[in-house]
Amino acid sequence: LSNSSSVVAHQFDDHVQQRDANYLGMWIFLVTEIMFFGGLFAGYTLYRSMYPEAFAEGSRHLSMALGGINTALLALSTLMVTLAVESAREEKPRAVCKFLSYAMILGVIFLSIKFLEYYQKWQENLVPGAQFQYQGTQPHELQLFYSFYFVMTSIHALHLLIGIFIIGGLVIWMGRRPDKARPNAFIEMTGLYWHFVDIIWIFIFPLLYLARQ
Amino acid sequence: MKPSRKVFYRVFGVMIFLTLASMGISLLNFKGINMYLLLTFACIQACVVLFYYMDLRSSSHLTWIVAGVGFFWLGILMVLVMSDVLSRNWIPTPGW
Repeated sequence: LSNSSSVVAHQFDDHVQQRDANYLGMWIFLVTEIMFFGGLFAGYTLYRSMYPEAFAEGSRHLSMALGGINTALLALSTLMVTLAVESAREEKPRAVCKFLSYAMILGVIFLSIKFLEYYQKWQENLVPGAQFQYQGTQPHELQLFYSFYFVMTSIHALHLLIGIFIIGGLVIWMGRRPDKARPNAFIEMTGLYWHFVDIIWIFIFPLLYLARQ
Repeated sequence: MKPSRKVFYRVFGVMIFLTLASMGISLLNFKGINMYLLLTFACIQACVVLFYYMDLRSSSHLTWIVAGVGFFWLGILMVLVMSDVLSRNWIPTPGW
């Protein structure tokens, strides 16, 4: 990726071609991510169809309020990233830093709530493994649900954490070198990644938290 | 044509509305179609993010194809998994 939207790398004819190449490259990466998460969603679909009662029971264990708050936080953060990208296109570096910082803070709050949920499940002995305890009718099947819950949400959280580090790096870089050319292409690609992480959560939330019937 | 900031705020409103609607659906029993409703709402939210926030609308045709192929392969994966699950009882097999 080019370091600045104002500079056209020598292999491109113009800005448009460079921008299209950036988007294409990033989308190829995102497709590999779709396939990665797709395996998890396919596994979830398979086991949910085999044990629908236990998976519905598992969903009823999870806090819909905390999940809903996290969904709203991510939706707001993805709006902030969009506004940061727009500000970068309008050559407003201060606004870019501001919106990216908001997105980063919202991401940190999301992760804090997620770890609070993990802690609650740890306290209730609902983390899969030797410590898992459940007095209901289908403990093994419920353990399977929680395996999917922890794997899917933790991998999503890891992606979010990587996004927070990238955005944090961008904010620091732009803060230290305000006179240098803005890394607009990098901001746009970071935005694509952040939106993609939001899309993954858009599907995780209903499948794990809301499929209670 | 690039969408204005007002459009981005509206998209955010749609996202929040659909999230609240999904939460409402999960509390009610729609006789087996809850999951379909939830996934429909999730797909709408995903499309809104793809087209407006991720700028897929104004991306090149090649980017469209690459993005579409990703979701198409995902569709193949899901269809083959479900075809296996749904057809297991067609031929009774001891131990299954």
